Amino acid sequence: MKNYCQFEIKGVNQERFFNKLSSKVKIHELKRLSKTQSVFKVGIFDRKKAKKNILEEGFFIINEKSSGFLFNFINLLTSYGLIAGIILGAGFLIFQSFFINKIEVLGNEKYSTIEIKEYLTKSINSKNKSKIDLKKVEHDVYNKFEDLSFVSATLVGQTLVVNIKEELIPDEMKESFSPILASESGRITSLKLIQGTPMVKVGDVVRKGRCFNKSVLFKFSRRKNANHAKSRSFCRCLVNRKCDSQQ
Amino acid sequence: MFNFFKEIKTSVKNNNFLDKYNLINMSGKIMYVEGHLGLTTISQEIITFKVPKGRVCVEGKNLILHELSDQTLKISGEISKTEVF
Repeated sequence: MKNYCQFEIKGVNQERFFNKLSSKVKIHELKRLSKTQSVFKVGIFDRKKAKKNILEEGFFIINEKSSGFLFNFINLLTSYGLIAGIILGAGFLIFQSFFINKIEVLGNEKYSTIEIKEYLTKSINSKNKSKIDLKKVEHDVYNKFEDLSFVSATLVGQTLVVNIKEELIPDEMKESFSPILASESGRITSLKLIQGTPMVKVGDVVRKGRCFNKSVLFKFSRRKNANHAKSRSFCRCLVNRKCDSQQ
Repeated sequence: MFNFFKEIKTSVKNNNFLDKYNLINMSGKIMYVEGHLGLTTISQEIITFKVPKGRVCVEGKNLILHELSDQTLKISGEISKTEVF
């Protein structure tokens, strides 16, 4: 028996007591030391029940000894120091969960992680989660660093995750664009629009130099003074003389 | 599940009387009893207990009641004699 409690008891009429006790708990290794003295073991979970019965029957407990891993574990759990430690530890864990202890930056290529982290550490005055305005963080990062098209900030556990996307300029934007102008005066007999906004329709009379198709302005950036906003347009038209304008 | 006592009982033709108690002695070192009705005497030399319509006395040396429950008991030690009254 690995986990047990051993009792050494003293008293008379022990057989009757053991018969009574055996109906409630299982007795192990019962040894009669003398006419009035016996020693026996019970399971660790029957310890209290056995002790109560011993005392109720008027026996005197000479010695009580518990042993086994389970007993030591239970004993450890019931020790006040450990309980206090667990409570304090849990309290500390709960307390520190209100603060951020790590900043993570994702999606950066142009700017270094350290640079962004340093800026964030300075801009976020408090580490308290409730005092961090995520929208403000996003806005600050967006304004501080050039050429960002997207910034998002979230709190994951105790980590502030800043996900950024650097601005992507499509190849078309690197070219120069201009509207299609009529090379000759005349009447439009057919018009095939590929891209852009048509300024004329079939049957219209146009003069030389008039705009056929207007470029469309695409805003790729949320900034007010965006320099990259350009458009591209294609138009194929036929006028009633011998003009075939295509761009 | 295999039951040792049941197997022996079924091998005997007239087994109606075999329902009171079971007692097995293993090499004179361990005695296992099923269906006892309580201890009457316990010492290191003699252990007696009640069974239906009788009493069993186990004699020996350094006898220990290794296990005692409501229905069963297990005696260990140098068992020299077992008597049923």
